[in-house]
Amino acid sequence: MQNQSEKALLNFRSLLIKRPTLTTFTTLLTFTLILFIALPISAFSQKKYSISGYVREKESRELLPGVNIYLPNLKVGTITNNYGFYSIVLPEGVYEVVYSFVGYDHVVQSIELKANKLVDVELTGITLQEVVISGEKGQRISESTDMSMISLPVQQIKQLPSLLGEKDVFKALQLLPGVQKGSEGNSGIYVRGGGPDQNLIILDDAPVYNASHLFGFFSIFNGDALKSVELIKGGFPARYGGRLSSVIEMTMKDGNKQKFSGEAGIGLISSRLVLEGPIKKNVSSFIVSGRRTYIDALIRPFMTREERAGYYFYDLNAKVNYDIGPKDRVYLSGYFGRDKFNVVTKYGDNEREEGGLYWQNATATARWNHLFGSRVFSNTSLIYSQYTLSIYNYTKENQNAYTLKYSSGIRDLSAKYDLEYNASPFYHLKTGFSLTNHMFAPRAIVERDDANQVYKNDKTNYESLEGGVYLENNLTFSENLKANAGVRLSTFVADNKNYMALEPRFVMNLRLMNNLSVKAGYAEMNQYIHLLSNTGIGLPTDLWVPSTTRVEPQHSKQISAGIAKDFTDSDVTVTVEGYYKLSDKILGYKPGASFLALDDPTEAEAFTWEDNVTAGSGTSYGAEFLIHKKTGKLNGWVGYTLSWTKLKFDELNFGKEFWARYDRRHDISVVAIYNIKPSINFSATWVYGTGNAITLPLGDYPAITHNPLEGSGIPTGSSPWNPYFNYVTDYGEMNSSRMKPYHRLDFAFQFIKIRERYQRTWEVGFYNAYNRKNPFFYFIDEEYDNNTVTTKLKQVSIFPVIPSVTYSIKF
Amino acid sequence: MLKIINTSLFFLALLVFTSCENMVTDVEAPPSDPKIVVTGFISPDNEFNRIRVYMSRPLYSTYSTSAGYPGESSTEYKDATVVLSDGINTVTIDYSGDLNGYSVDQADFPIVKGTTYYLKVTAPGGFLAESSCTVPVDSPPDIEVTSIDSTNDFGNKTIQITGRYKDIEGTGHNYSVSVGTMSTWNWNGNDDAYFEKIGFQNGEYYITDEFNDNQFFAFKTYEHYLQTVNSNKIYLFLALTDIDFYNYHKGMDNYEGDNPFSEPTPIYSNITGGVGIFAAYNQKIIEIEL
Repeated sequence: MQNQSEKALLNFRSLLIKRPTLTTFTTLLTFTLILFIALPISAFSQKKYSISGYVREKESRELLPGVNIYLPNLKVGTITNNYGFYSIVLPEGVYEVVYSFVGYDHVVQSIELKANKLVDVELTGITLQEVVISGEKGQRISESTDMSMISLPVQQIKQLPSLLGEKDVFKALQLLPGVQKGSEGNSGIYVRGGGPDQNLIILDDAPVYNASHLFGFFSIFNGDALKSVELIKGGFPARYGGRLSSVIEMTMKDGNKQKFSGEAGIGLISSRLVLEGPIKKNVSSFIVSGRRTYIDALIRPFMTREERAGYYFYDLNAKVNYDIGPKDRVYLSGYFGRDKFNVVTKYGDNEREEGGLYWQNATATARWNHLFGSRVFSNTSLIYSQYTLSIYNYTKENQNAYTLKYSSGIRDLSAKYDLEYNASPFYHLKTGFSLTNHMFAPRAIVERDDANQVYKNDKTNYESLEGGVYLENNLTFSENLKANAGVRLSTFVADNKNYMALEPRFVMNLRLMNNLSVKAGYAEMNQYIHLLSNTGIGLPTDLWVPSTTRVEPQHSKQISAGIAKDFTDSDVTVTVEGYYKLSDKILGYKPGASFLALDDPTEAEAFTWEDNVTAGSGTSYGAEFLIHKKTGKLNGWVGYTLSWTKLKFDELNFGKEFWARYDRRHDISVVAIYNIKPSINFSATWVYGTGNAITLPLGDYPAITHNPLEGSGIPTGSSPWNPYFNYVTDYGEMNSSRMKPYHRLDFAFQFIKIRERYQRTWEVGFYNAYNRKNPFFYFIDEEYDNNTVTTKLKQVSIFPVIPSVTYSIKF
Repeated sequence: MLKIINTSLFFLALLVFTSCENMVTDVEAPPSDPKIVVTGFISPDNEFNRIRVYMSRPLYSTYSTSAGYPGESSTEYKDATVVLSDGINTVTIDYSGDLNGYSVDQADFPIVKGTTYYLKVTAPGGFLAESSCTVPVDSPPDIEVTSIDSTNDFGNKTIQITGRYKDIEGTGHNYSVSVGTMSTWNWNGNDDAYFEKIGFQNGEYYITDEFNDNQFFAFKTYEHYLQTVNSNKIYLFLALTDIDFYNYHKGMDNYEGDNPFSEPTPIYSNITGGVGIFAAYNQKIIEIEL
């Protein structure tokens, strides 16, 4: 059996140096299967035992994902999974094991291994007074097989300056290399040339479909209830699938298992509250976090009784967990958030009109962690996710009422099973499957008209099934060579059409010298659901639709390569990565396409979005540079991206290639957090980005449509009126102009005071500190001067320098 | 419904402009020169075929208000050289003031089914525009008028027409359907006839069989008031067109003008060196006496 696994390793090495061919993938699969069978058996055939357990934060007993477990003598290690569990298999002996994590003191344990051993570890957080760097801080990036992956400490996100003091996870992610923001203030994320619809946004295993508040100015994630945030831009592990460009995985906190605690904050536009505590000490806990804006309440005194308008959003996160025993743990978590805008007009005593729109996200996840022995960890999840947009109009005149309500949305019901098996320090297997029932509701109309006795309730729903099975092999060939080789089989059934695809995934890490490694990765992705956007700026009216017989799934292939270097003395990591991504069957909109389906929502005509879309391809490539310091008195990062993104559609721009709107040649982010003293933090960010590519009007011209009578011989008289003659705008080539470059400086001070029973923080911040007029959109204006008119191009900016103050307490 | 969306967009715009007017600034405009605009729809079923040549109006320029904004007539090229060819025969078409365009009679230069035609237009100022199109081989299918509902509403007569046609087998067929009546326009004291198109309540004006091969395409017009001076004739036109004709008209049909919140929608063009359309079709006309 030992020979078999050695043979497999040799096969694999020869595979690495061979040029990829069509048979490469088959070889990879065979290799994976041999490993799957051979390595575990060979592992069992020797006398080996496991050290396994959970790593928790000491104070709250919160489980910690991503903790580094390292054996310095053997130079091997592992990390805790998303549920804080680890397992490592070793021959009999005495070992020194180091547990370390960013922001926590490391723990060293001497373990004598004669049988499988359960070692639960508690790490103590470094307090503000102890921002000294000591020893290992987490998994060294140069040793990990993760690539194009960045995890942002939530604490770092909460220290960054922000617009109106609203801490926003997505805006923090926009500061990373390879990630572009959309327009000014927008929380949309464009990763390596992909659109915001190509990001898989996961909150506790549940996909989130519209992650924005206030028409995109804020994301729905404020960080209060989050434990970890991770972004993957390439080299995707096989456990993820369904989107082309990125995975943004967020895990909610479990809640303090030791004592009741909380946090509350008041800002300029919203207030927030977090409460957490044990339900049964050390066994079960809860966390509830909420936020609501009060713009509506603030502006109400300025409105008349006859006409009132208002807007608010709120969100609510909740989670409970329960340790059933040493081998079982269950979690229930959920998110609910809503934005609502409404207008009420009263005409006298008997007449009233009300209209508005609201959009809401709801997710719920039930999870069960189970340990089979000490090496096999499993998680079963049942997931619900729903996004709904509703627009309504209600009129009451005397006794007659008229109601019209339009809704659209998507609802997911999923089951997911993941299994991790630690066969040896050199082989770690992850496998699992997921099955999702999507229900798309592009259009639902409810109409009640008392006066005319019209009662209508029309719904158009489409159901589809999306499935995935994956196999991920984490392999350590030697001290210097590691790989994560995997494959995902994805399927989608809708519209009597069955799509199926094999998606190979591979990342290799070759260590060149101490703390310096070269990494390379390849990933294929398929996306079976598409977002139709009316505006391209991420409004809630955007609509999710499935792949159909006519509209095929989007597909991408990405290779990435780079170097990673850890400077352990200063806790700094440096990564330089290049990528090349080809996307196919991506959706574009035909000229004049409209997906609102609202011009006359009562119309019985079928919703024909398929006629308005066209498939094309995209090419993205670039280089990303990141220096990241996660801890210390001065921490933060510097990121630089040099990138190109081009699109090509047969039916757009006369078939010629054109720049994507968010193609950005240069993108720079400098993020610095400085602990001036234990009671004062200073943070600043500076960003620079090449202007967006835009299509500008160049002029107008008469576009004459066909007159069916022309030349037909039917006498039409000599009328000069011609219904077939219209002036239209001449735009020239698509996205051939550029907006002005974008740059901005934000900074904030946090003043912290620790009282006997609580800690309070005042934060004073400035967004766009040097008042740069950054472009939001361009428009054409006419200026009159005596007898002349001049047509000019004008730029609209939205945010001048904006100061903010927030107050928060933690108890 | 749209009002609600617009109101909420207004709210967004309000947020945009709360920052005060000095957040609007001048920016450098891209170079914008006039372009040559060529339009021509040719068919073997026409008595004459006409090519029209115009000039686009560039933005980001200054003009005198006393002279008025450059109008339709001032942008027309009457001294261009328009050459039409089928690869063997070539004709240079003269400008016709009566027809507002470069017009050639079918008898002088026949347009033939299945033939490819090449158009070359040169105009003063160094403009050169070129294009080509191929006339569909097939004739359009027959239109079946399934019903004509007529009502009398206090002396005003309304009609509503439904009909259908069957796509020719095999893909690559594109159709244009128009239904209308002759109306009158009082021009210089005289009643003058013009064709008034009736909109569709259901069905498409322009359709392709790319995903609907060999299917029936049906349409239903809105109710249409017949004016007292109307003639009592309904006209139905069904054209079998090339794909450029379809793409151009579909784009024009969807054209909504500029909106800062939406992606710009350039109109389809197959004119190299300019903008516009040069396309071909075969047409069938049905005339129904009411």
